[in-house]
Amino acid sequence: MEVGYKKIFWGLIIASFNLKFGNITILPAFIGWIFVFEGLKNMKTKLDSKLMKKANLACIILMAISIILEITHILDYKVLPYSVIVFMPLISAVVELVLFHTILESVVMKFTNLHQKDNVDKYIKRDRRYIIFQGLAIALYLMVCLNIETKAIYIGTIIFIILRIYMISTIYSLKKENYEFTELA
Amino acid sequence: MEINNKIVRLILILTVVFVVVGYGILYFLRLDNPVVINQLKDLEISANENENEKIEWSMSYITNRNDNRIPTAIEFPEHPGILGIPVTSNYEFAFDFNDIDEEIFIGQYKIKNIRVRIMVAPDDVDWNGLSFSEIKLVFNDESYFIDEIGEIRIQYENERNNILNSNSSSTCSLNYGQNTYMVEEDITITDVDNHFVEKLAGIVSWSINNVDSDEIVGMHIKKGEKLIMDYDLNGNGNISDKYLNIDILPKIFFEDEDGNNYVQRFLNVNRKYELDSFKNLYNYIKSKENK
Repeated sequence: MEVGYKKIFWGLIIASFNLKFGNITILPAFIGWIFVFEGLKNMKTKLDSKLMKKANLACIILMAISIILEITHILDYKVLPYSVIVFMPLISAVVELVLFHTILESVVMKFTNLHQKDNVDKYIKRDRRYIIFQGLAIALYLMVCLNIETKAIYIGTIIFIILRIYMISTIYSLKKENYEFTELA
Repeated sequence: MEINNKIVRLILILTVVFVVVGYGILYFLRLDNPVVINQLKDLEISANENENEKIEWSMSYITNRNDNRIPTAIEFPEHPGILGIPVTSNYEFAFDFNDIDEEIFIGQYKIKNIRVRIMVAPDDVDWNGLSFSEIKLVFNDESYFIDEIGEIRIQYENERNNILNSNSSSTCSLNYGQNTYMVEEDITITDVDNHFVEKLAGIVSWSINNVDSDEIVGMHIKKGEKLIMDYDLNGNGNISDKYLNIDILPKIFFEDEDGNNYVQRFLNVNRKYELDSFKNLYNYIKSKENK
């Protein structure tokens, strides 16, 4: 489990804070998502397989989106029309919501099986906080896509960055948890 | 966890619904062609040909938010020989067309402001009284649109008369204004320029010494008295009247006791309402389409 969480942790850091050198991204976001994908693969046997398949699919979609965005950026946004580019942050936000919620759902399932009630409650709460604020970020991106209020992109992006940091800290915290069976009192 | 799953499902469903409905609405609102914001304008130029004088006026048009075409040339379907270019007041010539327009984004649309400058015209054009009511704006990708612009009427400046002396007590606000003059000789008003009267019925009214402009022909004003011209620009009415930009120069003709004829143009009869909400913009577009 620890190796899997480590890969997810570093993958999220790379995906969130990609290093740029002029017009070229040295560590593009999709490399981060590859790390996350690898991390999920490591945990496949230890967590619910159905949920892991779902998380893997979400991760592949995020990889594809970041590759498309990277190419679009290199080619000076001439490959895709504006109406498609403006959609990308919205799709990313929705897929990320599915990915992180699925990871936390499978983790909660694991803690339930291990009879760790405190951890079950802790991660359900974390998941709920994440879902609500990610929902807010999605609503703001929707406002941008539909030209209702374009300045909403700034607040949406700030919430999005805070949530990424929140998820990185959650993964870090998961890495440190004890995954041993607890006897019921 | 069940509650969390329900919230996620709800967010996903709402996102899909909003995207589908929202894009449906955006598709419905999309403009096939830009729409010019109409104006009625008297444009004065010098009667003596002056090479430094530019014939130009400002114009605004509504287009789709993502319309990034750059206007490069202007034609006038009513006057095929006259050609113009879009310029900015800051540049003598628009070398960089990216700099020439100011854009105001309102929802799905944006308002682009340009200045229309006449660049080429046949030698035999009689500018005095020439009107432009339609424009063809050509873009950098060779696409173009033709739309009504209201009316721009060019006329020669009149020589200044020395019988009406402008008084500093003139006032103006958004919809109302007053010009006051001291009369230096006994005068009789002989005629009124009513070029825009039909188009401005119910929108503009003006009077001299409280007598309506329709009834002032024949009015005598004695030496030493004041000539007070009041004007009222009605901001109500339907949306196309409300947002019609006006900058006109009402004109009276008068004669002194010796039968000498004079002309007086009254300034400041203008208004410009900004289309500042999406609802107004949409209603304006629809009202112009339905005309």
